[in-house]
Amino acid sequence: MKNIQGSAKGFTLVEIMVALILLTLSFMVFLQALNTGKTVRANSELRTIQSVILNSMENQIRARGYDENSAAPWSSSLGKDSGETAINHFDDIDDFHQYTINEVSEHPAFGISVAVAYVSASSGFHTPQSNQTDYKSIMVKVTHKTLSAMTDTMIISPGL
Amino acid sequence: MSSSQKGFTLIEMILVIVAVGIIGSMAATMLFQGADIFVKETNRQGFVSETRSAFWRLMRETQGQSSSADFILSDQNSLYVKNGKGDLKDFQTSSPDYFNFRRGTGSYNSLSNSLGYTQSNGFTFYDNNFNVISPSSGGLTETQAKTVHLSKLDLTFINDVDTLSLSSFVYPHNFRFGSKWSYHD
Repeated sequence: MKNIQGSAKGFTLVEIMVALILLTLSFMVFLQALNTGKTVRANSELRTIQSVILNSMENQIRARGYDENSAAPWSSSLGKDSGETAINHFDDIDDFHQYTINEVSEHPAFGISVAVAYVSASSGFHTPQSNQTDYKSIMVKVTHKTLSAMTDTMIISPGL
Repeated sequence: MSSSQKGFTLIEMILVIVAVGIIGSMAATMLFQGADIFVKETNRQGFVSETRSAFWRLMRETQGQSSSADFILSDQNSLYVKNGKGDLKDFQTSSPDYFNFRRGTGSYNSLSNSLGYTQSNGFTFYDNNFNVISPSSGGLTETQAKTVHLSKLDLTFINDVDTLSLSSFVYPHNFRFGSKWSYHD
């Protein structure tokens, strides 16, 4: 009788402690969820910077002419021409071929690489062509030390 | 024996209260931390998205010029552009934290109130050889504006916990509707 009453009257110390520990654990799970939110938001800031860097690079490329030559046949070798050591010497878009920046100034965690190739409409602007065509594809890639890279491809014609 | 069945002893009560106190304060700390992180991150998210939309607006509006002469009167703190219909638009930055936009000659609308004016390099203009054009007092003259070939937008945004520096080159020529400008001229 006494025993039944005793066990029915309330919680024991052990029970209360177990309940509290469970409660604490559930709060920890809740905290973890908050932390995930924190990572997501930090990533959105980094993605913003990454896309602005990508846009900046693309616009610098767009400011250049289609080719070294003013009419077809276009230059057969893609890449910097002689004497073009710095970016402000670049005068046509294929000068950016294999152009790389390991650490962007102001945002050193980001890097840039560019690849240029001749493409043709008949192959859907995808496959690089060995001959000179009227379209160049410019692939700009902005890398980050921990995030995945952001890549964009522009197809540019000589505007004929 | 019967007394130990009737209720808790003082020692038990103290133990329970101490245990509840310790575990409770741990839980409270975690909750407060969580709430703090949540509030900070929500603010930060708002800051980033306000900044992003302001800067992207600036980039898009700058991109659509039919002639670089549209940049007349622009300088480090003001950027004058025109839209496809020829309406005048301008962006202004000013001390201490204003980044404003207006269309025509109306009143300015705020794009952001978290600009770090002293930390921002503002608007820079480059000529055909990618050399910087220094605007004369009162902004770019018509002759200067016509030589603009590339522009650079460089703004830093600051709130109490975060700094976001965004800088982008913008080639102002309108690709879809404009005439040929850079190619083979």
